[in-house]
Amino acid sequence: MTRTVTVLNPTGFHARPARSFVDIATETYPDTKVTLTKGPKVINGKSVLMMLTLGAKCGDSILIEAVGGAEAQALAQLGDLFETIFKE
Amino acid sequence: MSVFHALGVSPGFALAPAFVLGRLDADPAQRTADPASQRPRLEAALEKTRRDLVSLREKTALTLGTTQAEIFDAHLSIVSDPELWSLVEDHGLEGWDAETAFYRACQTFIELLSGLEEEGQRSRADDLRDVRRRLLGHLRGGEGTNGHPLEPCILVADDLTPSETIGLDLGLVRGFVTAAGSRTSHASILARSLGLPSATGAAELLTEVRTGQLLALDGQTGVVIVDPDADQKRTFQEAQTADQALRARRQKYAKLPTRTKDGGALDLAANIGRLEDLASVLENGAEGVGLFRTEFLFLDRDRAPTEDEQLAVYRHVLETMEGKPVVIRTLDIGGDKVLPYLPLPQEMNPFLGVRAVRLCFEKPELFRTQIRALLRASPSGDLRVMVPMVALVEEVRAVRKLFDEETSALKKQGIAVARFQLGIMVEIPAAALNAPALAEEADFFSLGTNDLIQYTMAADRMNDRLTHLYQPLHPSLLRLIDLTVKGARTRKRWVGVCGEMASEPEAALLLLGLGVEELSLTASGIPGLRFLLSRVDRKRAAETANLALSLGTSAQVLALVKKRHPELEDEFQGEAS
Repeated sequence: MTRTVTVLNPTGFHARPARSFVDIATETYPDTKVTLTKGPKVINGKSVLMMLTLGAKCGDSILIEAVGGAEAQALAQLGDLFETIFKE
Repeated sequence: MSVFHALGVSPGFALAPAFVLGRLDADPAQRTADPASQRPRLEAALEKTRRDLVSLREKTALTLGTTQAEIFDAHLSIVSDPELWSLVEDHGLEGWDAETAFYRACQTFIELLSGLEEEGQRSRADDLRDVRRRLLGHLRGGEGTNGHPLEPCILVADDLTPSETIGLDLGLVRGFVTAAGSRTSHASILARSLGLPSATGAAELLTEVRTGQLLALDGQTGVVIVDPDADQKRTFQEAQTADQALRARRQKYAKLPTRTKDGGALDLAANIGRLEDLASVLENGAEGVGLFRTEFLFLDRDRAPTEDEQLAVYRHVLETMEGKPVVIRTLDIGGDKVLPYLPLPQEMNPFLGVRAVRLCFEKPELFRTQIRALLRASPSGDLRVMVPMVALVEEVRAVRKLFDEETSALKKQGIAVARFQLGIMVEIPAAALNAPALAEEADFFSLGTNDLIQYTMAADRMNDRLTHLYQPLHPSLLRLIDLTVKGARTRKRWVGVCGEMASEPEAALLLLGLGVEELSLTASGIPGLRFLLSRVDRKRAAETANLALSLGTSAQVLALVKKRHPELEDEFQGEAS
């Protein structure tokens, strides 16, 4: 399952929200594989380091994919979190 | 066997195995013969690292608040990162040992992140380096970020910071060898205060030596031999014995007062940084403490020492010195010294930035706490408070006002405050040039020559490529000292020197000649210098100093002193430091 979100925060992608995202993906959805795609880059959504290397800026569109486990629920929560966080 | 020529910064001989400390920022590049044991090693180190970070986070949250503690959350998520560990595993499968695999996995991300970093953000690459050091430290069996020696050794390190040496059992250390440094870097000063041999500038040696290899170290010439052969070992042991005999003979000067040949008095005082140094101060017969660096009280802890904690330390020093003068320097933080609980903004030029008294003005509560502790200690002896990094008359006035305010407040509470001197450290050329005006406000001057040389030459003393500019005998410096002494005399203030140059025989002679009344050096150097000064005539030294003021280079000054003062050339030559 996939969902596309847009980075709305003018300062882009920063460490603290990235960490919350990873913490939830890791702890709440241990059986779900989460990946993020931005342009040609595809990364593990449970890795803070990879999230930081993604270098997402305001206006970037990012595809979230969740596979396995409670994937629908994961996608909803993580997608919402993503958009909430980046509107903060 | 291989021989290295480094810079000798503290005389003496040592023959002991190397203990390589803190080389956690270099790729170990080691393969392992036992791949199966690497994973459990990594898991154990990871567990210890996590425990460290959780406890640091809790401590920091308590002392500095949750915002500061967040850095450790960041470290925790880095150290648990699945992509990082998958890289570690890949390197492990290629046959690299745990250290190398972890080092390289972190390196990949450090390089990726360094390319992306934006100005002004805390560096994620630095976080990774920090985490890497911590985990590598545990992998190597140490506590925290560095391992610790468990048997007698020569410490080998890139550089040693004060917080690193604080955690060490110095009783096991027989000498120091560092890659970066100078006569005035922390490790060199520490080595001299402990009377241990030390050499620096040994970068090449660091790439070769491993923990456990036998080293022979000559701290006078800077020669370091790795795996010495039987002949060299014997030569070294003989030199070591002769050296100890010389030290023993010199020691009789520990019990005499300092007198020049013509009977003139001069105080040879000691520089100290911790209470442990006091034993050596007494043993070597110092005529006072010329510099007590209080920042050591503030380092390696979670929060600033309380007023009562400080009071106990100051009182102990004053009481131990039994009425001899004790110069206590107020907090000198910033530059190369930082406090974990007092995060300071990054500065382009920290040595030209908000350090020492400048920082104290920005953190008045920190400063006032120290001032109250000093005032309360004042009845315990001959207290002389010294304020570092003074450039302006107004700064002295502002400090005195703080002392006055705290004195009144204490007296209102019925707490006794005794007379004490409030002086300044002269280490900024502007202060030397304006000495007559400063003498109106300050009770004494103590020349901090390490920094005065650095600021006069515009040469960072931590930069090992600029050591040639560190010239204690340079005429420019001598002229600044001359101006300082003359300025002090207008108000009959006394002048001391508490920089490293006080311990060099030629420099000490010139300082005496320029009219300096107190030299403060590491205690172990006092008996040797006292012996040399007993052979020097003050009038002749004054003439020499006067002649030196008209010269143009350090080499000329040195030649002049050597020519006019053959009494400095004898069995103690070079032993005074």
